[in-house]
Amino acid sequence: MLFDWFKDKKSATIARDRLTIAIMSDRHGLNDYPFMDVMKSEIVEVVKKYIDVRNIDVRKELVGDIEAISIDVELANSLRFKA
Amino acid sequence: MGIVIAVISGKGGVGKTTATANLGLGIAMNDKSCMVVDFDIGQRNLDMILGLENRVVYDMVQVMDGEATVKQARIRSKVNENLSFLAASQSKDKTVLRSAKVEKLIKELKSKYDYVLLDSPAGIESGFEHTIEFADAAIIVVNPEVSSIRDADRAIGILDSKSQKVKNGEEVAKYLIINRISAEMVQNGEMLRSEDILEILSIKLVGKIPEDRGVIDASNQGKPIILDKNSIAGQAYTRISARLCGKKVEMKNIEISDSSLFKRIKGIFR
Repeated sequence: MLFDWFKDKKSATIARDRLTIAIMSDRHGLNDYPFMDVMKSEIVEVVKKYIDVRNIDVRKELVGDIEAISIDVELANSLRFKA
Repeated sequence: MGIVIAVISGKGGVGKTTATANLGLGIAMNDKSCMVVDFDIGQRNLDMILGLENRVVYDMVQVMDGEATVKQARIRSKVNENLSFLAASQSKDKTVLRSAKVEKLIKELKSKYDYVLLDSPAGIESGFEHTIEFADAAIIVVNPEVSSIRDADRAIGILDSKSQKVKNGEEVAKYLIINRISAEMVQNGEMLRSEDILEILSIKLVGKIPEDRGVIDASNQGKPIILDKNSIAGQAYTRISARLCGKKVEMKNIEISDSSLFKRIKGIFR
């Protein structure tokens, strides 16, 4: 019993911490904002107007406690600017 | 007009069907008329827990399809005449449910019974969505265990977006049951405490049920554990049923039980 005092963390505490993080990221799912789909298609329109792209990814992300939107633009093989 | 409560869990095997059977009977014991419906299409098992498997003639899909009336299909409990039961369909597949038909059935049941309990299938697929769609409230059953709690949170998320009540701008009431709590493990820091679970899920608690070997023994015999006055799980279901019927019953802290002391005393006399 006395040895339990020296264990750093009880498994229930570990469970609580892991769950808190897992559920937080579950709740902040990909298309969390209701306007996400519309916004994404508008961004794609604008970017495509100027450059050739293979793929554009718009994502909601959690960096620590801060919410962020990341936009990844994957360019086409040879970058061509549109006049 | 009665109240419709969906019993959901997300993860399977946490005691959802057992809870539905016991709460249905518990509500009936509070002198309210209660209908329990097995929504787990293709996997009939509420009838087994209630000990009514030999009396199923028509199922709820046949009622929805107009092949049988509620009166023809409902099965009266042998132990309490306030309790009725509608069986799940075994032969038909899960995709058979349609919103319009579900709504019609639930409206009819709501007009005839004080309480209607819907035993949801596990998971968060269409069968689950149909169970919650027209419910006024939901009981969420979890075990104090990470996967159960995480899945429950997903199910609650879907409940909050797909329920008809929410779509109408109202709120769907949510009540949590924590099932299979081992006081000893909680005391040893090996099991999540109910306060932690409540904080993570942020919903109201309606009751805690201790781990009880009698539950399997009861389901073996088709006699819900609530009928066993000496069972600690049965007593917990009695308290929860009373709460659901609007009675004020204090929350018993089963996590700081005197069971270990009791066991030691019992040990002396062995």
